[in-house]
Amino acid sequence: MFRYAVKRLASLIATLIVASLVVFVVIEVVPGDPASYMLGMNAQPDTVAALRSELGLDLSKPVRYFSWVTGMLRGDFGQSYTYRTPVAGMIADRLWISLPLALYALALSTVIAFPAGIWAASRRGGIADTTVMGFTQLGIAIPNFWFALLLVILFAIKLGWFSAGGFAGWESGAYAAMKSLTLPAVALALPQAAILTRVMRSALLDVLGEDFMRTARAKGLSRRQALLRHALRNAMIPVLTIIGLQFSFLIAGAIIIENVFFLPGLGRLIFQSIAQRDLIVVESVVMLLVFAVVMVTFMVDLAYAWVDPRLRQRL
Amino acid sequence: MKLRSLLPGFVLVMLVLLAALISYVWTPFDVETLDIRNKLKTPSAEHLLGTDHYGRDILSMLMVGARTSIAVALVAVGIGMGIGVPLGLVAAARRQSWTDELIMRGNDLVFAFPALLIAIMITAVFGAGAINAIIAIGIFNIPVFARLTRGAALSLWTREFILAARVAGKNGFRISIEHILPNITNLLIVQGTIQFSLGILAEAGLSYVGLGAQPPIPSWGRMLAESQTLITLAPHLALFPGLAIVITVLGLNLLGDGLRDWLDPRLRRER
Amino acid sequence: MVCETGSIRGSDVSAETQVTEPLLQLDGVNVQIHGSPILHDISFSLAAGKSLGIIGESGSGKSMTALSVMQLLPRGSDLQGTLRFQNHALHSLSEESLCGLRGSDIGMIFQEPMTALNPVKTIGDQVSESIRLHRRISTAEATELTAAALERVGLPNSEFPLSRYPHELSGGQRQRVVIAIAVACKPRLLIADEPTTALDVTTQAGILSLLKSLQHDEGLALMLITHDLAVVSNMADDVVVMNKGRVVEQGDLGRVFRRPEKDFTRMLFDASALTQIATRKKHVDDNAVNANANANANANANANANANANANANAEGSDATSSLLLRVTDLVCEYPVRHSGWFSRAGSFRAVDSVSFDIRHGENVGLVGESGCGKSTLTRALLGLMKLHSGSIELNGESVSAAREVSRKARQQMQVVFQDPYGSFNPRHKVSRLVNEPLFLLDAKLGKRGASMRVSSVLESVGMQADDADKYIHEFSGGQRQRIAIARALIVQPSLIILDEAVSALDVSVRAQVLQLLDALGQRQGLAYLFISHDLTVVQRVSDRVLVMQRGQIVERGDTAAVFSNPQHAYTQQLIAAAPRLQLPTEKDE
Repeated sequence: MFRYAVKRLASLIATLIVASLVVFVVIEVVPGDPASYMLGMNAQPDTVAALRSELGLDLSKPVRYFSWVTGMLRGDFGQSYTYRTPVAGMIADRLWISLPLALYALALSTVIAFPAGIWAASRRGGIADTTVMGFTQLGIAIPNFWFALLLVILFAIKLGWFSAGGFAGWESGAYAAMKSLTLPAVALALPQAAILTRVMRSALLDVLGEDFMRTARAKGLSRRQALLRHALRNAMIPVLTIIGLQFSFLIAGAIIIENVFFLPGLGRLIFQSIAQRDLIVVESVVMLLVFAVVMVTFMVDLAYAWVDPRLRQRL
Repeated sequence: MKLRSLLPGFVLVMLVLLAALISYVWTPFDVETLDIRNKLKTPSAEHLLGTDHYGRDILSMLMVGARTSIAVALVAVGIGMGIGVPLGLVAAARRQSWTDELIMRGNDLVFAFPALLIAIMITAVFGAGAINAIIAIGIFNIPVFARLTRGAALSLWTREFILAARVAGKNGFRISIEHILPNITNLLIVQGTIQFSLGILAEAGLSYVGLGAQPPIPSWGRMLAESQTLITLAPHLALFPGLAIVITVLGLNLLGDGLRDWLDPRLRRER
Repeated sequence: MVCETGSIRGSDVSAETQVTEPLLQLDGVNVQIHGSPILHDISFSLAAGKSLGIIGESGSGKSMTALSVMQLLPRGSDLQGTLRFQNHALHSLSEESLCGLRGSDIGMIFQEPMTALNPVKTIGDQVSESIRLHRRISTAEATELTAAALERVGLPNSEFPLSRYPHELSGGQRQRVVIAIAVACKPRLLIADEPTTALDVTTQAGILSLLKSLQHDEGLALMLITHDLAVVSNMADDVVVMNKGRVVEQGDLGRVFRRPEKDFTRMLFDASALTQIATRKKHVDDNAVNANANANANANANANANANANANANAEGSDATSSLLLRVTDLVCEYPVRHSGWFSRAGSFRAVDSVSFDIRHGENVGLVGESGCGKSTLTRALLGLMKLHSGSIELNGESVSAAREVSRKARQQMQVVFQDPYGSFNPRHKVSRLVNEPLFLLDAKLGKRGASMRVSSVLESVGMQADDADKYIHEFSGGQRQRIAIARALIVQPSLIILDEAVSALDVSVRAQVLQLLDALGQRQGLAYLFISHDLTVVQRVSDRVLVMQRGQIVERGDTAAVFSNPQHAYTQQLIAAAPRLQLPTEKDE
């Protein structure tokens, strides 16, 4: 198990390194000179030169790359070109909105999907199954930001139970903060829950057809006992994969949803920075999100080995 | 046979496709002319789905917007398949070798970047537009098809009929084309429809945040973005583009499911 | 929901008081699945402590019969008739009561040991679950009983602690765990559905003797389902012969086999005993003449090779005058093994370890060995699918392994028929394309007409029809597919066909037909065969000489008759002793 974890960790680090290279090359190297890009075409050459040396852009590319990476490892994400304040600070505040939002949505979707998927699989072909499948078909087809708009229309405008947007802030207490994140989380969670339900159902059905289920029934286990005690754990393997993938979609979705609800999260930060051509912020936020996704994949890999003993031996 | 999803799916998809195609020749109203006096009208006999804040007919806009969604998603699937499938075939044919490792690592790398992030990066550098949306979604499709192809091909490589082909002296390339590819076509078709539907959703999301097709090219996602501020005044502005997306995606998913059942060799006794 | 014990346990009702009442009785059982009839009017009985063999070919309904006793038929099944077990009417019991009976009064084991156990649970968990399901005991007691159960089935706790996972065990060991699960609660009846079909010969012998000893020690009644008549003849007192969902005949084993009343039973018996296949010896001389003629006509043959054939130290006792076709000398094949350590030492595994043998024109050489002995690697090396580490291969006197790989030209002389009739063909191609694939090896391509003529002629020579070439492979049965596979092997007019377990997956009756076909073809065309099989009965029947392979080496070789009657090497002796023989019980009181 230990060897497996170490190998996965090595893979993670390798991916991060390559990812950082890609991000750096795409954002800093490709467009040519970021300084003249920022100042526009009509800028004076010496203004451009001054800006370049101020931003440290006159150093060679490999040097810039290394100082960026080592800086990130220390927690220093550089200084925003636009605001001249540390990027790390800008990110930190926003992170405390986007991350809880994504996790809240993940929790909601799991809590809905697991029972629904298990129920549908155990009543395969029946009315319960068809109903669940019907709902999930719909759920997958609904864009989460549209669903968010509909939720706002219903719950915020018509019913007034929630506010239509904005974030209460963690200072107002956890309850108020979570309440303002609820509608966005529900909107995010819905299509993911639909997908996860289907995956859970199909993974269970696959497992239910395996030979060892036959052995379990022959022992004297009832259908329900066999499903809960034997099938479920085996079905977790493909389900875990999907949860890991889903996290990356949730991150992307969160960025979009923040727009609907005027949440001052990372999404808002990115779009502002793009508009202002504050490339260093864009770079850092992208890198951070990639890091989050890769970390989740790593944890999912570890969870695999916990669930499936066959993986613990093989490297 | 349970083909309940095939027919409805096919019908819905055809509906949207037709709307898009017809829009090249005719739409109820011209989408480029603004008619402010008629703005924000609710659905009526004249404007079946109402008008927007510029007085443009929503139905016409939806029809033209269909072109964008379909074009972007289709080309993105093309990119994904065109590059991903050969990569997957090569990886499987050269399993356990460096080539295989490299391709798999590459896949993992792309998977670490959600499609949205790729789009953001590209947009930050090259500016927003439909082409960038296509590239971003397309890039993300590549590892999906590569992984699918590789997995399916790997399980075929151990089968005895592949062994027979090797005994007959055929090399990896020939075997991949003559034997492997025809046997995974069904899987690819089904996955293609799924990625197509995901592409529609992705394009809508990108246009919603302004990273997709730019004005004056209509796009469903952007219609939704523009409807947001007027949501209390004219909820129908938010309703119809969303419904259009749902219908298209639903249709494609049903089609994909139906195709999967229809093409499954276990359910069909005759080819 | 804990299944109730107590009144349902048969411990109150001992076997002695049930002399008149059979343990299990089926009367007029009919089963349909989604409307299609699967079983018709099945009736038989089984007395306590006795063993019943249910025999038949695939599709005969024997597994369904077993499942209907357990009431574990698939969804959509409809059962009529009565099934009585002790004093329970199985067909009308509630699911809850059935749960109580399963595993505790009736146990069942299945065919595929590799997938019969849950891979994510330990073997200890899986066995003790069976015990705790039916008895209210503490965890500690359950663990003790589990350990005892595993010891009982031949898995001592010192080597196989309860914390082992299934993937750490071999097929035979897993099957023992499955048996432990089934008998842990000491049931009165054990149903075994093809329990040893997927296992090696020696492993099979071990499992069968375990079943016998369990039966003997615990007075267990055994219902054994199999297609292998030899196995049944060693294990069962009575038999039920099934075909197409019906009971064809039943009764005492000796009587049914000696004096079968129905043609089907007779046919099954003959096909198993391979009585149609005449012994090989006298063919060899005739073949020699044919083969020589063919070899001379063949442009690839070296004319001088015929003269050198016999007078050499490797001639293994055969005094046939046929010439040498294939000579393998000190062949070594290795697989690289990634050493699973921190510092990756690339080790290698010797799958074929210095193997030498000859095959003459027209000979049928048998190769026997269990899984992992290296026979598949050897096959691949001969077919040019693998690189040779060292050693040489000569065909008709010419070396064909110069580039450490069998040359393309040589491959035209050696073709293969694989084991799985369902997996050896691309389902998307028509038969004509499937059969003409080896023509790719020819340097001078035939052209469409030529190829199609060859396809027709070769299909006809295997007993199929020329217009079968236009059909798809799924339209044919297993036996027909193997014929098509043989046609595919014949199309480049090889001198040697490697039959890699080519009849192992076929029903007994079909197997006999295919073997007859191979025999006829061999005679007519002077073909040599390398007949690889784990089934010693078949090898004994059809091959002239036999090679015994173990762990990459040939441990014994010689004339078939000699090796089988007087095996020299310990492993050969072990194999022959373990192989089930079709033997009838001595005539007692009939």
